[in-house]
Amino acid sequence: MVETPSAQPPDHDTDVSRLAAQALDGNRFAFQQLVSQLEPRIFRMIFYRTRSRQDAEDICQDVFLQAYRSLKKLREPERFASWLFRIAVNRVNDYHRRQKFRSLFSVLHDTDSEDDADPPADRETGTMDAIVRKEFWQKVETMLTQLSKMEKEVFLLRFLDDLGIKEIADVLHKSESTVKTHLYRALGKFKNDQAFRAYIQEAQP
Amino acid sequence: MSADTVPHIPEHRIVQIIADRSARATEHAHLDHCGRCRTVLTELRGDLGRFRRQATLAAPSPAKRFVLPADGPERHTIRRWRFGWALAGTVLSLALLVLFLRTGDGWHLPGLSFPTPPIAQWSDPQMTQVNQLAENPLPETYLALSESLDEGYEEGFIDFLVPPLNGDPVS
Repeated sequence: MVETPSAQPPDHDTDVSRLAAQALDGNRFAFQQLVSQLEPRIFRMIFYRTRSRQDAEDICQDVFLQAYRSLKKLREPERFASWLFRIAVNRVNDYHRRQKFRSLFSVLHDTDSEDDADPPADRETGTMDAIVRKEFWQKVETMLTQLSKMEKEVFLLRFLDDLGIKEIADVLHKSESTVKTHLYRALGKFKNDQAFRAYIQEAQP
Repeated sequence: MSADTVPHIPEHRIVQIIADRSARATEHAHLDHCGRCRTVLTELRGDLGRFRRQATLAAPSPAKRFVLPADGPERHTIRRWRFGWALAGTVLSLALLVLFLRTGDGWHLPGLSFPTPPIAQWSDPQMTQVNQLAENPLPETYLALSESLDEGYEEGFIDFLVPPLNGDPVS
């Protein structure tokens, strides 16, 4: 087998492991560096699933706070990133559960809060960007509806969050073969979704 | 052997190559020569790359950054201790409340108990009558009648019936 290089350079992973080991020894500065390195990824990962900037920010804060508080539970520093992603996935699932619960009691509740996906600074650049973004996420949503819950999670973790198969297995507490099975199915569906692929090709930046 | 005579890589295998980010040596060799398989692979890989880039661009940046709390991870232990004490206190309070509500003749829960009339608390039938009289005074005519009956008795007769203590009259 010839391995195709991952988007994350190996140095990055080593750095995260080293910093995680230092943070485990009580080094606050190391943890702060970990936050600086991983916060954008974790934030995006949450945003992809909530489509709300405000909620993504709040959940992201919670994730890092929980990670900091329960750092002692982390046995293997080299798995810090997947551990953090696992916390994030759990938080996002909690969020969706809460949203579903709230929607039962509120008819006016809008679960699709894409409007606040655009920060004020971005709004200044014009509404065109906002419209394009909104359309993009609507297309993504349509494409993802073809996937089962697990296929969707595995697909997003692999191709948007750029995690490896082993990391995904760690995050979801599944075996690697299970992850692969879902990933193949999801990717097969993506491959056959010609409309979405055409849209992606047209709308490329 | 030319690429045309070799069977193409099945589509499901192309999907696996992309998902696993790895291919067999024979598949690599085939991809080097077969334009059709290479196109399928690169197009799918390219679309996934575009999808990722567009998603990154369509996602905002976080406006607020995480700031470490002033306390360390050991604070968690203190919080757990606090929680433990609070839980123990709550359980103790509940136990005391239950003991307080429980009486000899059973359980009296606040929502289920009915207010007992104070008069029913007297077990002595005479005292019951006294209480009834105290709450429901006799009619005026009866009181006037009883006063007229009392008029017939003299102090001496009363003293004879109930001898005064230390020489003091009863009334």
